[in-house]
Amino acid sequence: MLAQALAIARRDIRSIWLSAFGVGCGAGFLALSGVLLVVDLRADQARLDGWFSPLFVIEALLASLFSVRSFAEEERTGSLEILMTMPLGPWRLVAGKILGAGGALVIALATTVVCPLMVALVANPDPGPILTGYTGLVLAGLAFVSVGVVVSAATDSFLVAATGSSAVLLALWFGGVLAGGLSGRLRTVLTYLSPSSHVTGFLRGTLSLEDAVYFLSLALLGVLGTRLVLEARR
Amino acid sequence: MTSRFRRRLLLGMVLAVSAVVIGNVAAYAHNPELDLSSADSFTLSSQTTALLGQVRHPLQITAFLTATGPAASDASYLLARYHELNHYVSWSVVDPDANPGEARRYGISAYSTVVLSYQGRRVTSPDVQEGDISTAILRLLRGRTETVCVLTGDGEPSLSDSGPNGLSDVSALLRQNAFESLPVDLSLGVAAVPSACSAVLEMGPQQPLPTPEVSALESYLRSGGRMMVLTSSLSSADPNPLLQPWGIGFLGGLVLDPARSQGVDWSDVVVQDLPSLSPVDQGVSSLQFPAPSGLLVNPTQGTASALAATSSQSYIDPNPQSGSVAFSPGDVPGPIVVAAAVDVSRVVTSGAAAGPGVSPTHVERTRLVVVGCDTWMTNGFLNNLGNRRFFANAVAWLTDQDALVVATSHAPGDRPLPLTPALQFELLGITVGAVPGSMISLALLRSALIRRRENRDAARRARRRPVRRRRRPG
Repeated sequence: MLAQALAIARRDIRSIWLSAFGVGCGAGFLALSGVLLVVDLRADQARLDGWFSPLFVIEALLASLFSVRSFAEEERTGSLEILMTMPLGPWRLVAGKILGAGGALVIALATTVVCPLMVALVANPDPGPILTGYTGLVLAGLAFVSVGVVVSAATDSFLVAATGSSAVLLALWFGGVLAGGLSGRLRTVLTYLSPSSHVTGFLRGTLSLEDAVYFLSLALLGVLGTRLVLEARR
Repeated sequence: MTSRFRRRLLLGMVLAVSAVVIGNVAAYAHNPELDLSSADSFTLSSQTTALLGQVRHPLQITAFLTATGPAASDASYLLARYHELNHYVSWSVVDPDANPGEARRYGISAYSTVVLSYQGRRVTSPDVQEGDISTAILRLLRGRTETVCVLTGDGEPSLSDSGPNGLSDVSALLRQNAFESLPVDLSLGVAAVPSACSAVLEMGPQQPLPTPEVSALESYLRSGGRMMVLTSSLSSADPNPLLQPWGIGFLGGLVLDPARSQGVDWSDVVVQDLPSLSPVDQGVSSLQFPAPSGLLVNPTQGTASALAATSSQSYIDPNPQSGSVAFSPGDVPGPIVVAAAVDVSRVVTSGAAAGPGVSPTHVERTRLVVVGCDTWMTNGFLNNLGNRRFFANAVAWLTDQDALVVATSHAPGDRPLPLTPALQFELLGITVGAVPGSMISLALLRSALIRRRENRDAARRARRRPVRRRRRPG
């Protein structure tokens, strides 16, 4: 089962990164992260938490773009029909698609390693928060990609899928910020549901079970949601 | 797909979502963390955890600091840790510039001030650091402030001196641990130690103590006083009249330790033998005592114990002015006791009983901490090795206080990186220009190579066709 899912993932990673779209997105992501790095370092401190923080938001947008290709783009080009008729189960297809978009995202994240490396060359940053920052980016990326894949499976329009998944992720993100104005149990629940409240630990250098469980749960819900959408479309 | 299959699928989904919800609730309730930041900056100490266990009513923490920037986010994150440990604790960060009325209401005059309110009481903490906040909580829970009297007038370093030889860090440490430090000058002929003093600190007199002062201190100790005496052979003060009645002798001289010293200076001794079970040694693994002198522990009454001793290779040079640091026949071989504690209890009859059921006797308990070095707690050395903890432990033991919250706060260290225009240009050049440019160039190169190969293949195919045509007729 894993081999088939990985084969789909490899195919998707290649199709993203060997396309002008993927390279353009990746280069743009890296360039933006470079600008954010300079903005963060204006505090004259070799701290990268202020760099990682907006990177999570940009990662959500990049995840939307990468995951769009999973189903919406396949359907637009007509290759989804071929894929659906292939002798592999729907779970493998979903897992392969999420791993593919996630893998492409991890490659984009890997290119940004140049930023902390450059800071380490000229100063002495704390390695702990850098390690946890990237751990958080990978976990959050997997969750964001899963949400994007659900939206991508639900539509055959590239534009609708991209804007839809971006809107869902940004609503989740800023929902936590808006929850700050509320009080009581509703505030607690809304804050918990927002990814923004689960990245703080990664920025500070701590790994918590709660944050890891949250992002993995979001990824799992994405898998289940995609499976349901595919089932409904059959 | 059969409807039965779909029902099973839906049931499986519902079960999976339920498992996700239960997993998240469980993780929220019990959230183990791994702190990978340097010096565990965001892990609250066991002392703070124990302290928060005693908070049984709503405790509000309000931090006044600029709401943006790393300091504010660090503060928020730290205060959230307190809330996680005890949900009676609630917190907020208020920007005094954005909410000047709120700042005025609390009387806030400096950034980074934290106000803590608990059961109608209110204390302020000077910074948003764990040590400061936990101390403020301790002060709220304790509900009273002990007074520690610091003797002056005999050349002792000043509590207000922030230079390397001053004691401003000691003053801050006392304040942060809910003590009020009161300078007392007994050299002016004051007859007795003020009754408000929970303990008296004699921190390095440089000249002999006047006889009335010695008498006042002797009388204070005899009546159950608590005192810390820091002395050195580099000063002309002789502490023996004060110490010998309690079984401690000041040997003087200069302790040299070739085995354990900082750098090449044998007199800058690192003490690693802390043999006592006394709470003063608790949590202390090593001390830095510059130019220490030796002590002789000879308990005549009560219990006296050596708190710190140098290595067996150390020795006391009685004449350090001679210039030779090598061990010579007149030197006292180690290990040398450089810090000691005395704890003497006795039952005192105070005459007639004050009332029915009240005993006419009471227990007087004298406690004394003596260190043969008078510079280890100055600003230049207090934060070295376990010096800070040793000092705080000693004050806590002398005043019968609970274990204090000591230096548990590890603020994320200062990691300067001056962003010069040249560095900024380099960073942007590489991260915005060179690396993304390389990615795009490689993609273009690959695309060009593919196109070239395709063109070559097309040309080859085009060349082959006419040849075939020529052969067919033949």
